[in-house]
Amino acid sequence: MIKIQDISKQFTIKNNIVKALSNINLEILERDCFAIVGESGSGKTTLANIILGIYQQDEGEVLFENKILIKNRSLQLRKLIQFVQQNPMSTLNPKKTIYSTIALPLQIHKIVENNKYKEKVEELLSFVGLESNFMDRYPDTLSGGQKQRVAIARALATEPKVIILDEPTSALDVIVQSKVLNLLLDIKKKFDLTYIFITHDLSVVKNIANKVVVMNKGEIEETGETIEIFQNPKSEYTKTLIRAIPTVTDEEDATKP
Amino acid sequence: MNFFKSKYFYKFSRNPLSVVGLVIVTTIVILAIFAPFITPFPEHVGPFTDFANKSKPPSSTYIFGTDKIGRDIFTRVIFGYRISLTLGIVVLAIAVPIGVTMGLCAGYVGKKTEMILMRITDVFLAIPALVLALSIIGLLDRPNLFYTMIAVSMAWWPWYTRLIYNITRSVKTEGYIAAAEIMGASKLHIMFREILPNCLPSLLTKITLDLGFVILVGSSLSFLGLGAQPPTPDLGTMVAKGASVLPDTWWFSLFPGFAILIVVLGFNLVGDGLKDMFDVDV
Repeated sequence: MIKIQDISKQFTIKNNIVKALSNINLEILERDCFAIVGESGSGKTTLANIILGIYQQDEGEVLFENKILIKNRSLQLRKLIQFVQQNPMSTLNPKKTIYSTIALPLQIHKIVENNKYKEKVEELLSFVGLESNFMDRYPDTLSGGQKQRVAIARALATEPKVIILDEPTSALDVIVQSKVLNLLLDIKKKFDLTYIFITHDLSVVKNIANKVVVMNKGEIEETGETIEIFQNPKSEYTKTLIRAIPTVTDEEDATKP
Repeated sequence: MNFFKSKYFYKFSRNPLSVVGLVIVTTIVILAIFAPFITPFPEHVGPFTDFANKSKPPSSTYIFGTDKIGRDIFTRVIFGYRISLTLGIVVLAIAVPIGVTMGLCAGYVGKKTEMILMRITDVFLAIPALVLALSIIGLLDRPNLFYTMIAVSMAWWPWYTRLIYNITRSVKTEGYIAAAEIMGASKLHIMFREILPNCLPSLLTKITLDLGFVILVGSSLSFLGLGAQPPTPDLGTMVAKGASVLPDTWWFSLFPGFAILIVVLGFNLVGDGLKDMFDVDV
């Protein structure tokens, strides 16, 4: 579905050239939950931003269903790839109601008739487990988990095929985190979505992703099926990451490489 | 929601001075709007003479006294407020949209647009407002109120560009701007519907503070003879006319001068209150 071919990207910061990505090749299939794992600065967010059209890569191509994706892409292509970001505090405009936040993508992409926005927003809120009385509220009256749910509803509004999730649960506490993850899995099934899941949290990856790519310093360390990588990691870096997962019992500890 | 019970009004009213300011401003606005009905001698506004009552000191009939052709100064001060408030409102109605649009463009679009727009702004900012307004009026035909308004507007917009530019630069890194971009929202939508609402508290505060300052600059210009021309009652002109006969007929310039002081003070106090209420820095 998404093919990433020989992508390279570098940034110039105060005359220093920083290589963010070098020669990345990946293939993401339909209905995958594809996890991109790595520490801060490994290039995972840069890669997501290239797929989303925020950055233009220096070299290589991104293909979406055999169409080339560039930074200035058509609305038709924008619609199909959506994004849920990390920080629930900044993901919603504090001056807009939940209704106008979710109605915006409906207006831009003309998803429904003008007089049906309200019903559609209500429906989208119900998909993410929020009641319709949330429509008139402002983001500062919502909890972190609720804000993230609204962000998910906004992403769903354009009827996308792919959703890129940039650490969607890292700013939430553990209970809310598991609720949001379960919601994401339900939605994935319901709408036949493909997820690209960016995270540094391997325990989340283990539960949610079917494929993983481990990135380090802008390069791919290792990629493959999740089970494969967890049971039989090849690169030293991946082993270190897996060993770093906090465990409670000795049995759990014994499963580490 | 009842505004007077909200946390905003609580913050505003915590400082009694801002409430005083609000009372001053409201009173002045009401006086100015209903001037023909409130003032004792509305006919004294135009070309009117009453030499029998010229240069009368304050009394119960003429509470601010009369000028040297016998016109009631109280009436003329209240009508003068009409001119001052109109000047303030018109100047800001021209300067704010220009400044806001430039600031949003410079801050959001960035790169060359930012460079060009902000350097133009810097050039205007480098010259003091009064001097710039003076030279613009000098370039235009003979002085009148309309030219004064244009000139002061030209001196005023760069401050709004600066303000909005700074806010835009910090707001544009927020997640909801990225979300709107990914969704495919237009640049105009992002600037005016996503970023601008976040500028409104600062903008409203600055407009209120500036109303006082614009009136002050406008009065300074008319003091120099570059504002509304006689017989229109203008506070700055009245102070200037009276200044030559100080201290004998002190009421000629004292009351109009005081009127300027009060209106500027009023807007400043309200502006300070808004600053606390919105918790912004302008």
